[in-house]
Amino acid sequence: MARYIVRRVLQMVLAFFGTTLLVYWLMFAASGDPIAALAGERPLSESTRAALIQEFHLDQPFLVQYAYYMKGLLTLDLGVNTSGREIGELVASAWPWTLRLALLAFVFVVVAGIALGVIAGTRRGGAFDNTTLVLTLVVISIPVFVIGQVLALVGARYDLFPTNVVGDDSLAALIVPALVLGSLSLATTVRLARTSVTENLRADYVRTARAKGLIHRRIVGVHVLRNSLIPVITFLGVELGSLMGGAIVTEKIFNVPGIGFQLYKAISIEDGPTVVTIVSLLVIVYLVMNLIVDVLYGVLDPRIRYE
Amino acid sequence: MGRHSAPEADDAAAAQTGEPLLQVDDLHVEFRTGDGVAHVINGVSFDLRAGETLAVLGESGSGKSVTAQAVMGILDTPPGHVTRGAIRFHGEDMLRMSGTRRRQIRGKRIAMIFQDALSALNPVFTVGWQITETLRKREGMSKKDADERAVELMDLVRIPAARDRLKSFPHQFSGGMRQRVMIAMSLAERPEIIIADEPTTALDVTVQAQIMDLLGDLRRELGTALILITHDMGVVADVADRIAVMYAGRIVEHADVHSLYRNPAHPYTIGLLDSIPRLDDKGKRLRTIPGLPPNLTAIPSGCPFHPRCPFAQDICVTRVPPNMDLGGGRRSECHFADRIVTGELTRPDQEDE
Repeated sequence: MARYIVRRVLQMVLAFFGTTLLVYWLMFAASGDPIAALAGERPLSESTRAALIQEFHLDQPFLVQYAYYMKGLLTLDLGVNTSGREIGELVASAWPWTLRLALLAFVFVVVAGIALGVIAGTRRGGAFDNTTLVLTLVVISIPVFVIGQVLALVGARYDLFPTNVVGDDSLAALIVPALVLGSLSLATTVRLARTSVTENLRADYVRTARAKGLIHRRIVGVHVLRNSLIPVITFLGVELGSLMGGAIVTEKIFNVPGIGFQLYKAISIEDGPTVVTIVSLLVIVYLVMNLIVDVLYGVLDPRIRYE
Repeated sequence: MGRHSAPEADDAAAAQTGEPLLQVDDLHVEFRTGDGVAHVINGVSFDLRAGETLAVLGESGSGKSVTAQAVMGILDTPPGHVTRGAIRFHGEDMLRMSGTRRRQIRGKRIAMIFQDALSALNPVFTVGWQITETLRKREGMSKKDADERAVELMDLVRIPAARDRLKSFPHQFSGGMRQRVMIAMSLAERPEIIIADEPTTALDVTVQAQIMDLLGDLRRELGTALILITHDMGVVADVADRIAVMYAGRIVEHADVHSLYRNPAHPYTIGLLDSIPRLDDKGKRLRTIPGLPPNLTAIPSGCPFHPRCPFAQDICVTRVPPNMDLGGGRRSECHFADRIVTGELTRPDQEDE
């Protein structure tokens, strides 16, 4: 187990450097004049230009620039963005929003997804099952930005719920954005849980449980559920990782000042340092979540061996 | 528990036969599928006394397992439906019991062992947890007491270092040990009847013998009645008291072990006995029963075995054979049972070999 984790962490390090190098290269080396890209339309004075060259080590070879950047990142000095603001400060103020949004969406996905999936799975072929299948298919087919936009429009026109989260600190304001953010995960979770429950209900150990004289609720709620959750939880773990970072569209639509929103802003104003930093952080979050899921998988399914 | 409030008619019947533990009477089961109705069990009757071992023998699809599932009350409905008959436990028809009462018998007073213990045990729970489940949930035992009982049970089925293995998962055991866990689990609440559905089929030959020995010993030590379902003629000879041979959802021959092996009274039984490989037949072709078991949605007219039967005559095609009483508790469903059992009628194809 310990060896497995060590090996996985080493893999994570490789993946981390690989992705950050790629993003860094895309943001800096791939543009002709990084400083022009950084500055955008604004004319730059000679001294500012020199300061920027100094700040981002632009007179050095690319890999050295990258190494300086990684050194900053790993010593938790996230540097400043093109308008001179501390990126660390920016992330610190945005992160709680994203965290709250992602967790709310995640709770919604876990609770509703597993409950609906189990009900549909135990009543396969019934009205509830068929309705669930059609509805989840609809949700899966419609892109999130469409669902989000439509809901935001409807909400704003009929004044049903707040569609602009900035300046509203309550958790209630995040409910609709969380529903939008979690909708795709929810639909997939429902379907996954349904299939898994259906399959497990046919398993031999269910017949054994029935032969023991256990009540139906216990057979489904303990024997079947515990087995059915193995693939579902694996999926949910990875989803939590992407919910944390993948909220760019949702945060933009509902003006949630989270990480996704900042990333969107940084991309649109070509603020390279911010983009690279946020993406690097998201990569770390995603990798860590993946590791947790893989370790959890062994706890859930005792047949898995870490070798 | 469970012995009161039996209908009077059943009481009378029970008194006549000296109250067998279990009485299956004219059981019919059909499976209703999209392709039609499969008549899986077509009038099965047998009884089982305390401490007795009945072997139910037959090819795949003869209805052995479905009979067991109907007795346990774990038939998958749909597609399976019991359409006629009675299954009396201590004289009371279980088919007319409430679900709750039936469930109190299931696992507790009649327990079942399945073929492949790897898939029959739940992969994500420890064997200790699974053995003690009914003790904790139904008997209300504390976890500690239940664990003690589980160690006792695992010792009883001769699992070495039982206490250390309580926390092991099914996949950490060998096939034979897993089947022992299954047996320990079935014994947890001291059942009166154990139904073993092909308990050794998934195991190596040497392990098969060990498991059969264990079942025989347990039956002697605990006085549990055993219904042993198998397609393996070799397995039953040492353990069983009586044998019921099933074909196309009927018991075609019913006899004590010795008589059945010495003088089979049904052509199907003869076919089964002939198909046991013998050392002195080395080098010769294995004898088999020609043809396949019938499609249960279209069972042949008359005697269902007639298309495969070397003795078949015209009457076999047109008339269902009666259940012939051959005396000494022997029964056979063959038009010529009386002449086959005496050896008067021999296989017409025998001379060729």
